[in-house]
Amino acid sequence: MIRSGDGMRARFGSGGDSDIERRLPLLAAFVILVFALFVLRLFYLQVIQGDALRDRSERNSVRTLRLEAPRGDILDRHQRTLATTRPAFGVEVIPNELKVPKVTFSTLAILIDGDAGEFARKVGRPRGRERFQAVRLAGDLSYDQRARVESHRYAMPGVVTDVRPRRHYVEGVLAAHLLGMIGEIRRDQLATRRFADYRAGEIIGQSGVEALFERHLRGRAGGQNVVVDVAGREIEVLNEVEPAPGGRLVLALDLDLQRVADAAFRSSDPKEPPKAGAVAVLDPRNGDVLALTSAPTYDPNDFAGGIEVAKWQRLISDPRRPIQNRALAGQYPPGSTYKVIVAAAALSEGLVTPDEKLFCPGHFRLGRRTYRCWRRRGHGELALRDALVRSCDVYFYQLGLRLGVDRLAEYARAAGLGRRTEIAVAPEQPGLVPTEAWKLRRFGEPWQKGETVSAAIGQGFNLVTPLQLAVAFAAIANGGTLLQPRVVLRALDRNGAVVDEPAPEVLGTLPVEPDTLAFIRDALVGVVQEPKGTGGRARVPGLVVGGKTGTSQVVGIEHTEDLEEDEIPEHLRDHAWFVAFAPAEDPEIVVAVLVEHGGHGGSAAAPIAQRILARWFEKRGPAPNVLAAVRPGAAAAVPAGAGEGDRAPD
Amino acid sequence: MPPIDRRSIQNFDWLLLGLALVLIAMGLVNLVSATHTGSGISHQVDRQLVSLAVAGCAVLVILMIDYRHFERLALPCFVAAMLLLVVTLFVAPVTRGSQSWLIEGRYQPSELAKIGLVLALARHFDRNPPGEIRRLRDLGVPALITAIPVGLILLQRDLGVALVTLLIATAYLPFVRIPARAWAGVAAAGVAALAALWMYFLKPHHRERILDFVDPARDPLSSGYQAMQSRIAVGSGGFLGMGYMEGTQTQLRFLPTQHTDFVFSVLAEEWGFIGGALVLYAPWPESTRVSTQRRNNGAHYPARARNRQLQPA
Repeated sequence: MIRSGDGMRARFGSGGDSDIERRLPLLAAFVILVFALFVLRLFYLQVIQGDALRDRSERNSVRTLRLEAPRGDILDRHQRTLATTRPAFGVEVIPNELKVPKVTFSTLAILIDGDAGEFARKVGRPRGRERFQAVRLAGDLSYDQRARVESHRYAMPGVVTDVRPRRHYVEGVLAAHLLGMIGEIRRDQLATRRFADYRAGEIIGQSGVEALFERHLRGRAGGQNVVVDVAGREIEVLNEVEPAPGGRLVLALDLDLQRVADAAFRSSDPKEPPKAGAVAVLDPRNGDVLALTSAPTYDPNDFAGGIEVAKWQRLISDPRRPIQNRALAGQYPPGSTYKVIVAAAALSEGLVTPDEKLFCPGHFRLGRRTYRCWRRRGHGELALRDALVRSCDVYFYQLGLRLGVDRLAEYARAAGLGRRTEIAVAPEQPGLVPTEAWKLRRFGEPWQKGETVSAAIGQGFNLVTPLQLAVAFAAIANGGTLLQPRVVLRALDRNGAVVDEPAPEVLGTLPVEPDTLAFIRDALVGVVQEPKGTGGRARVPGLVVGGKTGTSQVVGIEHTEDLEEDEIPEHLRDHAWFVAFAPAEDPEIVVAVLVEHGGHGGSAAAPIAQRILARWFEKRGPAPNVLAAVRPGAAAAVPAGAGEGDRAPD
Repeated sequence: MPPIDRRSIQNFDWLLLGLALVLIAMGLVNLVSATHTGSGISHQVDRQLVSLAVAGCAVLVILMIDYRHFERLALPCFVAAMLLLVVTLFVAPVTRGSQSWLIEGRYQPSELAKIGLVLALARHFDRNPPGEIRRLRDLGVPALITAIPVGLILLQRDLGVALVTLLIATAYLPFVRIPARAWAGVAAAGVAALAALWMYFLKPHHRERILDFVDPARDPLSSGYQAMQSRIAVGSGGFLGMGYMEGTQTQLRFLPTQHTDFVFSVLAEEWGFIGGALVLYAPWPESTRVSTQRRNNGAHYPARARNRQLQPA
């Protein structure tokens, strides 16, 4: 900074001054040039590219945030909540803000009972922009855990909490299959027009009511334009559109009946695996689905936050198939429950009259084969009503032969068997009603008479689902109208106004006279209320119940007839059926129960139906004229058991 | 104590002092914005003020001393600075890949090394005027004098500072009278060395960084992120700037290390072209003034080199 002094000049050397004088300006010019280039570059960036870069800057700092709409509630018919949305507290970490990762992770681990090592692994070592992206460490803290984290946040730089809506199934496993699963939308779904306005990562209903009414339940997301800093923290809200919550659904389901149905399949012994099976409960007056159970089941809450991979693997590889809705997709031979169809068909075709007596010696010969009746001793001489009450196989073998498989199939199909009900709540199976043409198509072989014999008692190729049987019996109970099962009573918008109230839908009419149906109903009352009836275990004091037991064979009789029931390995045991309606004189409820490998219909399935009917009756109270309808002495008798040497009834 | 040169006060270079003070003031104001957290003046600004106070005192002391005494102090100063660099290598903690800070990140020994280098080179060229240097080998000693601090700084793994130090040393090059032919050989060797360096010695992430320097848009989310954010900050300043403390890249922390490496971007964003060009203009008056000055001697070399130091690193 000091200017030149004379004394220094002498040291400089020859030619120095002029050289320096010549060169110094060049050097200065060079420096000025360099800085001029900087200024030019600055000009370029700020003035020429200024607008474009200003846009980029805004894109950095102004974000459009999506505000998720809470999903609509699902309620039962009495407005009790089945599925709702609750807040879930989560913990995230922003790597760039982690000043002391080790300490923070171990503190956090203590506060929320986590694992510090796992936190560290999840966060990893991000570079560049990733350092500013939050990593989620926990998704659903309990209220206490969240309180602890919040009060210690000052000591954990880099940790942020948030609240997100989460689906909550209040009753846990109850009606899991009916309500359905939610899950992240898949790529193939996103590509369809139906989900055109959905985004990747959205949670949608994937099955059950959640899927069927996805649009209605979904609501409309809102948004905010916010100014955010580099960590995504909101500094200021510029403007906002509120989200609109989803609409609610009122189901036809009755939670009380559903509870009883679900509980019936859970054994009181924790070491024993729960039984497998299904229950369908309908109101025959309007098709309302009052209860729908499939066991074993799963907990839909597992799916709410995104199911863990391990849990999902276990569910789909479980050989007992908990995901399958057996009420709609389980196909089983109907067993003796089919006799009701046979009886109705034979009466309508004039092939038998109520008085006609046939003889059952305990077996029936057709050509070279002998077909047994479940009662070895036989039933002796009996008419149609008794044949139904006592479920005589031989009587129905003969009726079946008189009808022939094709005519029988006609009536079966008219009762809704062999095709889906299109309830649409879950993947549904159509069951099977065999015909001669079908067998030719399927096996390339002509129909054998012996197969008609099997078909007449609901064995052989016949397959039905529990829901189908319920629908068929409901038609018998209500005088001949085949009704579409109704799952949803009402759809409400978020303010409670009714948006949709589907009316009961008629699928068809039974080609059977009302008198014939009355006769059959009367016989079915006998099945339950009379001492010789096979369905005595379904009796409910004070209520007149009608029903039919069924036992569908898993393996041929010859393999198991010499064994006691509990000696037969479970997977070879017969499936147990029971279908009932009540009150007999003006039915308001129909129950179809299937217990896989349950053994006798009367002993395994009927008690379950009894519990459901009892609960229903308890809620409703006796109707004024029920006492008059009870047959004297019937309700007091002990139910008839199977005799010695008999195989499983019907 | 060395006598105070009264003429040093009369011949004081007020322009240089004025420019330096302006830059320091702008830097402080800018730093307040860059470190603004909404809770008063940040500790970085406090530290800066303390450093300025210390430096101010040092400047006063140095000014008082007749510059002729510097010649005697040159070598001891240089040696002391080099020793300090060596000590740093052993003692300093590694921060962001380099070992360049002492006393908990408050002092950078390489700064002292630069001054030592200037003094040592000045002493050498005073005895061996550049106008008389005609052979390449005569640059050997200055090259060695330069190589020591640059090498030590390279060992600290602080490439940026090493390069700036090297740049300071090159202030003398325009004044030597070595014919162009001789330089050709050096240039060729230099290119070959760079090529070899690029292909064999540079690790992939070094190469990435160099490529990102050339074109930050190439990988905007990770390695080019800083440069890209800086470019956005600078550009969005426009002509007049976004306003003091109003720059969004700065205030919302999109600009990394904005109080050190990228502090110019803060200035450019908030003060626009006007502010940025003003800062870049700062060396011009002094450069022109020095170059048109008569009565040259060895004393202006330190000035030239100091001018080089004004460039934003």
